[in-house]
Amino acid sequence: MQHTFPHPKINIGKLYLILLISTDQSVPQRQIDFTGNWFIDIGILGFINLMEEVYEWDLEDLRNRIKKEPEKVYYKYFPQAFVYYNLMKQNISNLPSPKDNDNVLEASVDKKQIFEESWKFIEKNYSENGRIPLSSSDEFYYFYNFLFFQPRWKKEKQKSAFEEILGLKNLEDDVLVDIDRTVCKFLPSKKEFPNISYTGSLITNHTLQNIVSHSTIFVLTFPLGFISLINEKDKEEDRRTMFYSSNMEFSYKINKKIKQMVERSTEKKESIFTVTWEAIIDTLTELKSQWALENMYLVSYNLEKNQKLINVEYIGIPKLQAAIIMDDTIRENLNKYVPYRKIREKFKWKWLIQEFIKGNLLYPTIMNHLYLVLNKDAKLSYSSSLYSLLVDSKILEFKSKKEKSQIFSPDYFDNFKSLIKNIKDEISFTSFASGLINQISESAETKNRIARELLETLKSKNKNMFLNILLKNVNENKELSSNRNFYNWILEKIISNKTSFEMYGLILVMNLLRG
Amino acid sequence: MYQKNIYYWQKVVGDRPISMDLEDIRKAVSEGFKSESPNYKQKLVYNLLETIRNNDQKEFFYILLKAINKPKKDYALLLEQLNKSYDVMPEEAFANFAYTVLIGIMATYDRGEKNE
Repeated sequence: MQHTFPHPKINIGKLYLILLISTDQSVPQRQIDFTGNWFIDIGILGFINLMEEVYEWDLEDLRNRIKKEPEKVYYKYFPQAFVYYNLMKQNISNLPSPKDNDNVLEASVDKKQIFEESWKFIEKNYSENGRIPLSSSDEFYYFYNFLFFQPRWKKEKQKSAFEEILGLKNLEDDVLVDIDRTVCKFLPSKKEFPNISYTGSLITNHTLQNIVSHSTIFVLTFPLGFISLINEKDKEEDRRTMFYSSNMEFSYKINKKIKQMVERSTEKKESIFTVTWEAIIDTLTELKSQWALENMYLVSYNLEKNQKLINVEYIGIPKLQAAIIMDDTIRENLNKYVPYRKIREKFKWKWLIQEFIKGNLLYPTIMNHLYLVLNKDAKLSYSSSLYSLLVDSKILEFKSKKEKSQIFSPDYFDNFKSLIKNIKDEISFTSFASGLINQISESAETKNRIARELLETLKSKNKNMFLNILLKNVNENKELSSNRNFYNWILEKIISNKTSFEMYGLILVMNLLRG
Repeated sequence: MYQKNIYYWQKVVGDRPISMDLEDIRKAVSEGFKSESPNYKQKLVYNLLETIRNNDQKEFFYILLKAINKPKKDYALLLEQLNKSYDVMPEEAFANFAYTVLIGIMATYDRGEKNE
């Protein structure tokens, strides 16, 4: 007989929940993980990055340390690492690394004492004219003149600010109490908060500390979660970007990979998007965590002189697009730049995958690209254009069918496998049938003329005129007119196609331009 | 591979959606014109193209009916189809119908008596 107990996992889950709730906040958490709040999570990632940079611990090492000796990690290793890293960024030579200062503390020592020890080390090794020369340059510019970065603050004051941040002292400093623009540049300042008159108070760090212990530390390490993309030629392109997903390990691995790739690719002018996507794919394959596809974001921003955020981008990658791009062939074909405009003899390029992930149709880009080809300004990217147009058309068809049914269809849970198969079948079928149009004439000039006329009708979305011009020209060639594969394709893909005839029309134009 | 080529629109009187099977129309047209001379058909297509361009439904059917008004068995199927689908259609539905007719004629260029 089958046993009738409830599933054991459920009980463990409940127990775990109760333990979490009853955790005493004064005890440091013996684990580090994402919270689901992106602001805190990026801070956590920044914390991990910092510890890795200074102590060369990877995520696994850090986790073990936190498990064994959380107090030491937060009250000793962290402040030392933070100060050291800041000074290191100022190119100060002969800095003793805190890595070499790993004296063994007795297990019973309390956190205040641990911090005292650590501060002693900082004072002894780094202080200069009565202060620790912390500077808000580089990524610390995010916290310009914030607390201990102020040049007037002497070391006693700096120490006290650290104590507040570490949670050894009550939060008193104005700038630390409220969570507003001072600590998170993505928010308005306290005065500008639109709902202040309704709520009375904003979310404060006190509240946050009660939810996530050490949250103030993560507020401070927030900018360290980003990867800086300094463009030597163009300072405005001084961008900071990071990849965020709700899985810590996944985010950590991808960001690490992006950093390595950026270092390698500065010469090649590769866009961050190329690099990021490569990193994502690599890591996805490695971790086989298909589910992570559903919660991925790229967060990036530039910081202006007065610390104003500009060009903030927050790109979510929709599941449909992510699933399609997981297919190797489709991804390779979309993984290209195509020129789409020429301004003063200079080409403008579009990165197809980027457009695609943003949820944009690729059709307008390809159309502009074909205009350039038509005017002999650019070489035709045939395969990429074909894939772009058919991906567009299949998604449109798919969506028009789905309108009537539910959002979470079986396709959704199947990662759109049938849609992907559809796209690939269509590629081979259409590339053959539409290629037949090349028989329309032997002269490249004639084909160019027809292509131009057809392109104009597509631009004005005039299906009637498109077919009129097409059939008029095809009618001159009796052999092509009676080619079964060709006319069936026209009938199915253009005449009776309500959702995406433009894409197939453009494919015909493209074939004419192919020569 | 081929899906059924069906085009829907709503008829003005009544609310029963009317559908046309474009593939059936294409076949009926091809069947009808299969033994005509290619040059004659080619000219006919040019004339019809002009009428569709202007959405001149009257002229389109005038030319088409004149062309098939022959005591030939070939046209039986086409007449039956026309009987079913002839109507004053919205422009879009008409264009789809008319271009399908042209495709049907053009598809037969490789057949028919060669009298060039």
